[in-house]
Amino acid sequence: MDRKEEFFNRVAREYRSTIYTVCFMYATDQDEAADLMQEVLIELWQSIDSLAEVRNPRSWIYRLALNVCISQDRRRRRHHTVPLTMDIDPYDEPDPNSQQMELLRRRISRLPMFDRAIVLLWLENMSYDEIATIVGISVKNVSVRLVRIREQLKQMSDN
Amino acid sequence: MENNELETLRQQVAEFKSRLDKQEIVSDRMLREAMLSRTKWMIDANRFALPLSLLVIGLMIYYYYSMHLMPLWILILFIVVFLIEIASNLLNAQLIRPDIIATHNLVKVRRELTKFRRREKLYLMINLPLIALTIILWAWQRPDLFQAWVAILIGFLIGTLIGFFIFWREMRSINETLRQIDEYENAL
Repeated sequence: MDRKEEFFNRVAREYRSTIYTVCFMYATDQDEAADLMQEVLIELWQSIDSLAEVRNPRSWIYRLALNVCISQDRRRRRHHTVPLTMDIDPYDEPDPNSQQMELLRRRISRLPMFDRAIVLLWLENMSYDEIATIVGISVKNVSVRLVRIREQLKQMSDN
Repeated sequence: MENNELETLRQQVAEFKSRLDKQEIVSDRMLREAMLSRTKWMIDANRFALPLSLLVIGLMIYYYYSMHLMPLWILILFIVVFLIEIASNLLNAQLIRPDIIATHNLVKVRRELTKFRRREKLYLMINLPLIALTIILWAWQRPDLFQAWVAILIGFLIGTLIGFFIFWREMRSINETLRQIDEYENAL
């Protein structure tokens, strides 16, 4: 294994839960999540050289994963995705944490694509500055969006 | 939404991720497949377009020299149309460079990919009437093959009408996406 492959393996494993969380939020079932995960890994491999020069790898990984999930044309899904190595299925798990996450995912999935990205980054404790840079809008726009998103989520939860 | 509710949501996500950290998620096979993967389908499609177009041009030249059914000027017109198609595809492919997803923000990437789709459709719709015109001119040059030309033209016109209908619907959706991106960037 050469140095590039080693670096890719390390990054993919280190950020696996972050990447999976993004895929989980944009997919509707575990197969689709696996499909998106594979696409993110392909993009990661193709861009891995530029990661070495990045100051904030977490932010970079989020941007890459979100870009893949938002841009992926679902009609062109791959059909030979390698299954994920997980003994849980967060979409269909009886434990309370998974069920709450699934509920949250369903509420977030009703938001427009960019708003989904904003709320996800915000839930991951990212600053408004970081969110603005990843999404490509102003900090003020992020804060206004988040107020609206929170209202929408509250309405969904009340209903 | 109250602050404590929001904190609960953040806590849920943190707990979810800590559970995920205990899972392997990505197997060696998955990583290997990613490393062996080819570039995205759009880039592949554009790479295939060039040799395919060259093949069609080659076949047309062969047809011209072996059967002498096609006037030279029509052959030249066909080749020009194909060359325009190749050039426009190559130009369009610049919008979807492999590094774009890793280096640009979400709004920019979405905008570029939507522009790519829009241009692709526009190029096709510019080329289709050119091909139709070429067939009509060719038929006009060879009136002895009238019946064959009528059949080809009817088929082509039906195909074009269906194509235009799909094109109109897709363009409407693409333009709507671009409008939403503009609104999203500017709205406060």
